[in-house]
Amino acid sequence: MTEAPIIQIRGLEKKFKSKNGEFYALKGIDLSIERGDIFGIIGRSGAGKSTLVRCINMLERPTAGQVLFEGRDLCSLDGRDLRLARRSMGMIFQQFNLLMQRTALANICFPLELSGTPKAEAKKRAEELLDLVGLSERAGAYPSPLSGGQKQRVAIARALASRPKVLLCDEATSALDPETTVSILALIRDINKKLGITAVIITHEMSVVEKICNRVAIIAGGSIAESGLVEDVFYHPETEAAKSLVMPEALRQESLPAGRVVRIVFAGSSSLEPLVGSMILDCGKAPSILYSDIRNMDGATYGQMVMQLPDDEQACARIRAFAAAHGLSLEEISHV
Amino acid sequence: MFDAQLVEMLAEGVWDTLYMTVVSTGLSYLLGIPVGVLLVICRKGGISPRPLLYAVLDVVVNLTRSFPFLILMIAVIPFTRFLVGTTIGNNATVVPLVIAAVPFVGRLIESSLLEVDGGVVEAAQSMGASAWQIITKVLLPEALPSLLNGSAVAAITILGYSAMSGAVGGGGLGKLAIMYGYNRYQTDIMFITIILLIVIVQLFQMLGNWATKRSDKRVS
Ligand SMILES: Nc1ncnc2c1ncn2[C@@H]1O[C@H](COP(=O)(O)OP(=O)(O)O)[C@@H](O)[C@H]1O
Ligand SMILES: [Mg+2]
Repeated sequence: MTEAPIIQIRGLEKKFKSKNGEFYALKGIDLSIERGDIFGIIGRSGAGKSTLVRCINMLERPTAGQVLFEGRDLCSLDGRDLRLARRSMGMIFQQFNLLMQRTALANICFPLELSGTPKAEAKKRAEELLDLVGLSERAGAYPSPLSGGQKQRVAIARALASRPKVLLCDEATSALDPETTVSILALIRDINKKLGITAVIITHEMSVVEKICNRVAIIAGGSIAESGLVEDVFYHPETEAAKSLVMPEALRQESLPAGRVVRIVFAGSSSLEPLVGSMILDCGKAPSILYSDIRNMDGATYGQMVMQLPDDEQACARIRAFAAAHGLSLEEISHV
Repeated sequence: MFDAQLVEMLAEGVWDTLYMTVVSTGLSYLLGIPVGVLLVICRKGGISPRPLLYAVLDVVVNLTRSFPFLILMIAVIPFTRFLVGTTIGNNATVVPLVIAAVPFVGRLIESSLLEVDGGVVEAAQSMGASAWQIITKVLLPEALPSLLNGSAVAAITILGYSAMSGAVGGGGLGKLAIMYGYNRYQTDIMFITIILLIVIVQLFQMLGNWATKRSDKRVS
């Protein structure tokens, strides 16, 4: 199966000119996004994430390089051709960007009006989409009284109206509370599975990537520091940029206590309680837990835990063996 | 003093004032909307940047706006005569009123359209909207409450100019106020015309507020 990537970015560069000279927001970006991927792009504020995603649909014109969408270089398009190409890519935003003077239903009809779809057909499609995002009963509501999560659902339905092949999400959950975030991410994953739409997820939160992405690229200072399968990047971050995103702030090397400290990653293990419990029982001596950030999603466990192992070689060996036997990734992060 | 003749004269004054104001406001919007839209889309960072056109339009608008209305009215007399065949009466007054109001209305529209969230425009672009579609389906409808609010301001300003035009051949309540109050020292009649003007201003403002509120879907 060597199908061509749906989006291929080659040597992408974006240079902004300002009074004090030139500034490279993006430099030498190469990325391949495969059909059906949920591709995460993660980085700190100002890293260039928004600029990168906006270069994918040419809201921002790259100053060099190529953006191939289904093999066609979007940088070479303008006018009508570009507008048509954009209809194959839906986009959602942190601030939702709904038309405030239109009802939820009319917002979803908007892209269909743009493409000249007959009114009755547009309305029917919009109703189906509202149903898909679970908001049928709010069809006639204007955006302003809707909650953040509801607004984002309307925005997602609107982005899907033109039957795009790709959904670009720029910090789509960053304005939402954790619970709503989980439900919006679940919706995006459903859409990816049911409709086969490739998703590009821009975020500054590792937990978002971890929950729904299969691949991830880490962007820092306008360049891709690392990219690959989420498990690989999450278990074995290689670059400093990746490490600092994956590891919580409190666990940088300098702040760790003396002794053997390990990081255990749960990437969808089936149950949490027995695992940790039996590991401690198995080892005989209690490790002390320095950090734990573990969540349950659909009955599977995601997250990471950092513990200081007992000062006992045998106990340590048991814990290692236990982790290996249960498919947990265990990585030593300091040993003094 | 309230004889039939006076009442008829005042009624005619009200009609003339309303006629000039409404017709001039309508025509000013017809011409001012394109000006305001161009000022918004052609500026740096607009949806269709044209720095030269923007700079020219910006200067022309400022120049026209800095012209005192009475001087403008006299300066355009030849043009007025060319258009309507005469330089007195309601229709003749509409010409300088529109010329004075278009740049003002253009600025009002510009500032209303600039209030529209850039993110919404960007979302429309991401859906493949053309510049024309963004203007007609995003900018103007999203700015509607603010545009309606501005139109009350415009109508009231034009009403003020039309009253001023009474000094140099315009009709309406302004002419009555000047004729009776200034030329004949009949201050009671002047007062009545002023009160009528105040009532009309108040009505325009109330109408504007009502329409603004009604059209605004951002408050539930
Ligand atoms: N239009 C612009 N002009 C100049 N600099 C910009 C512009 N847009 C973004 N930048 C700069 O590019 C960098 C990356 O911005 P952005 O892509 O928005 O970052 P992120 O989304 O990762 O927070 C920032 O330093 C920002 O100041
Ligand atoms: Mg951003």
